[in-house]
Amino acid sequence: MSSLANLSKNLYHAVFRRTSTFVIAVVVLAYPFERAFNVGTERYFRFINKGKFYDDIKGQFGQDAEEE
Amino acid sequence: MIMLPKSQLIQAVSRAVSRGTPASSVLPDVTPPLKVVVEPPPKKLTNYSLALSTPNSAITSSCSIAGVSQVRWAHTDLKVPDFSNYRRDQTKSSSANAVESDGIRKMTSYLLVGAGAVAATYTAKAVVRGIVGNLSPAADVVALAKVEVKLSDIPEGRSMKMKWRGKPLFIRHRTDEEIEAEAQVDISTLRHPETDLDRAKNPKFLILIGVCTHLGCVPIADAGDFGGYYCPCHGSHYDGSGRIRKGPAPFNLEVPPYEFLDENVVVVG
Repeated sequence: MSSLANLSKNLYHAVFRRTSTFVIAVVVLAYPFERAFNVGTERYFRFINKGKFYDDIKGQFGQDAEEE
Repeated sequence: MIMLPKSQLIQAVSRAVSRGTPASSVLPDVTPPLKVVVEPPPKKLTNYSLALSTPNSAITSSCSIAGVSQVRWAHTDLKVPDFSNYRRDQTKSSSANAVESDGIRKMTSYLLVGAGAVAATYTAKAVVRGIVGNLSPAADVVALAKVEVKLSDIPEGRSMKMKWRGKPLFIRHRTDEEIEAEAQVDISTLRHPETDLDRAKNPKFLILIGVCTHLGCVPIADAGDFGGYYCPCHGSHYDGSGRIRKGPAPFNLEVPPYEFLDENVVVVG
């Protein structure tokens, strides 16, 4: 697709060509990556250990009915 | 060894030389081209002479006036291996048009490097946080920390919440009505009987640790049926002195050790 080729050309000239712009892009992308990675690994950890957390067995104690 | 044509040698030998200076004997005026012949080097026929030619250390080339001059050895017996497993598919053929595949090649390289750089930045952030966090107070220091509170900052009827030894600390500047109401409670009806004066040295100020004695949630101030605290997790109601009135909690809210340094300053811990 020529629009994809166009996009990659513009991306190269705008970001990848100079080290300074590359570094800025990397640092800016690191923040959403950090958030996404932390959330993702946390979810995966909870998935692997399903049934072992208090949140999973909370329903078994019948205390929630007392909560106003 | 200078070679002369045979004819001239014979002439030089057969001519009679008159007694005179050597300059008087003159050879014909023909200047032959000088052929400089260098003897071929001796053939290397023994192990020893062959070994002298082989390199026995890292090959370099050095040339100096008073030192050793070494010659770089060109190994014409080495073959350049076939790298086609490592080469890009788009440029393997020598007749391939490199301009067409330029975009794909550039993007794969730069995107891979960029993704690696982002991951490395995340790692570096975590490492730096850990190292700088080393400067914060150690766990044993925080566990025994005291906190000094200026009571004049708390207006009457309001409470102040702060973090002390990792736990929430509630300090409430009680109004006279509240003190009266608490003093009149019959302690025999309480689950955990304690008088208000047992709990607050200076009844004007109520200092409590805000951790529910049931399962450890933080109760909400000015909530609940008894004019005190209410824990939203399982519905424990505490009164204006932090004593348990209704709900699953077994004990009253804990009173930490504290001292009044003077009218306005209390040191908790």
